[in-house]
Amino acid sequence: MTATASSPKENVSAAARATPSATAVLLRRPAVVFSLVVLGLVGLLALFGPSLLPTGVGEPSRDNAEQFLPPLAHGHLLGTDLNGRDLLYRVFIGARISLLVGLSGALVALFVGTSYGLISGYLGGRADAVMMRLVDVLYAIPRLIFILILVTVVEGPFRQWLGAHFVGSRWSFLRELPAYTKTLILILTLGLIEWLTMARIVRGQVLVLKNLQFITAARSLGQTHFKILTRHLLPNLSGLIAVYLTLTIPAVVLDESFLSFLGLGVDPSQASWGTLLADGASAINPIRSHWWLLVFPAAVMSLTLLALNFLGDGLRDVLDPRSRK
Amino acid sequence: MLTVHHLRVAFPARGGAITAVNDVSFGVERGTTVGLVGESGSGKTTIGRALLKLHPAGTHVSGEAFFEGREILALSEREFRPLRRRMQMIFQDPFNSLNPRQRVGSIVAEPLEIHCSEWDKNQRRARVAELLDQVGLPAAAAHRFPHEFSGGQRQRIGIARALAARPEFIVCDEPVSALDVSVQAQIVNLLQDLQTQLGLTYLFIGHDLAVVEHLCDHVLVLRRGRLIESAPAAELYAHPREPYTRELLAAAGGGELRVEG
Repeated sequence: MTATASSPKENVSAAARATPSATAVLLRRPAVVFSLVVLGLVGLLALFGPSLLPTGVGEPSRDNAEQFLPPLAHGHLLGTDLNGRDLLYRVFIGARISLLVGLSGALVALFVGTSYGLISGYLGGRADAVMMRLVDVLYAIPRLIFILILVTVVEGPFRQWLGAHFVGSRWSFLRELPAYTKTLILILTLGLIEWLTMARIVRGQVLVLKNLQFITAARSLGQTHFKILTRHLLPNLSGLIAVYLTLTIPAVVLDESFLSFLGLGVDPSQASWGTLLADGASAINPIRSHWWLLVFPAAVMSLTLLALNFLGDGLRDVLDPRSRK
Repeated sequence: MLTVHHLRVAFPARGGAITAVNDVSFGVERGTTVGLVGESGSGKTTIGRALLKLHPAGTHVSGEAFFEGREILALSEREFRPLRRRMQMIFQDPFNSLNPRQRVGSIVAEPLEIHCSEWDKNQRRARVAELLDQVGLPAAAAHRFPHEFSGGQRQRIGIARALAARPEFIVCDEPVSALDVSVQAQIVNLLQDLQTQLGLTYLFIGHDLAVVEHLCDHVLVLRRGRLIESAPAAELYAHPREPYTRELLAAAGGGELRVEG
């Protein structure tokens, strides 16, 4: 065997592939750009929209003439509801709760699902089989019934607990918590329902990753299991997790709206897109249809969910090289 | 330095177990290289992994292996961890053996964090620079990601990582078989240079008999999990005793005999 001792020092980055970054590929997709614009707009309007409108438009009006005004009447862009409240203001406020529940619920799902999937996949063997059968069992439970029961059972004690612990709190936002009891329960229960898919996906990917040699290499170095999970497995799952986070948010928003529509969602003092839809639906009668109460909240909600789903699909396509053209 | 007695490795399988390695005994002396050759599935890699306790959970390993007079197969992972500093491994696939999300500096420093945890950042950085230089990479490589390097360069990174905690014994699991021929020569020479400089002991697993002949002092031939021939490299290549070894040599030399299996 002839040996040349030529140094490879010169062309270190020669092997660097000239593929465009994932962000660049992502921004070339019209659907993704559209989604980002929609989500940015909805987010900004949820935060700042209410303060852009004249003060007091969101308060119930004693003037009967303000009731059920159609769109554009008296400066109400989207009209008013039964209590004379400006619908645009209500949609903005509703976006706050809906997006808050969606995002926090998805984060709970992300945390539980990722941890569960990581551990199950990493342990493998019998432990993995048992953990995944549990996921199958939970999948088989009708989740709405599960949520209904959980909300009903937990609400009373949880409200008491919040009242006992936070009413005397130093921070004003903690003192507000008891009023958000049902919203908090909703976030937790929806998060605890939606983690199943995340756990399955993460576990599947861990099964693939843990057989790669860099995991064996980490073991041969004497690395702890915890560090192997957090440093070697988790960073290689980040793309996947981002995709399923964006796809879980719309699912949670939809669940929340549906529960609120049934009157089981957020506390009555708060408005979400679901409660707006419920109000709109109850205002329909054979004599006069107040269509705007149903159409506008539904349109905004659909647009947001569509944007989130587009974004999630776009991310998935970009991160999965097999689907990249 | 390392003696193995009656090593047996069996993997659980449907309806019993598959014995991948059966009654294998050999020794490796300090400062030498022992080659382990055989066709795919003959149990070479399994032996290497079993000696470093990297076999999958549920694998049944029996027999004895003494590293510097100390039995290692029966040790628990906790008891074995301090020895991991002294026994390292270089992996076959340079593309899968480096975490794609870690920078090279952090990859090479990982053994230092584990085994030299009392070191501060500067000591670690200096050691990483020294290691990169030793394997023929520029110090700037530390800030890059593995995908920016070619196969041969990645294998150098893997070697630097294995060397970081100053091991004495290294299992080289087909370290060049995934590389181009021209790059293979560079890596083989690097391994030889490092052996002389650092007084390393290698267990070199390979199926390329030319590479094994070039590197090894002693060669073990494995077939279906059994050791069928063991001889000093020069003797084995000049006068192979077993017909199977002759077949292997003929196949490697481009002869007409085919290797069974």
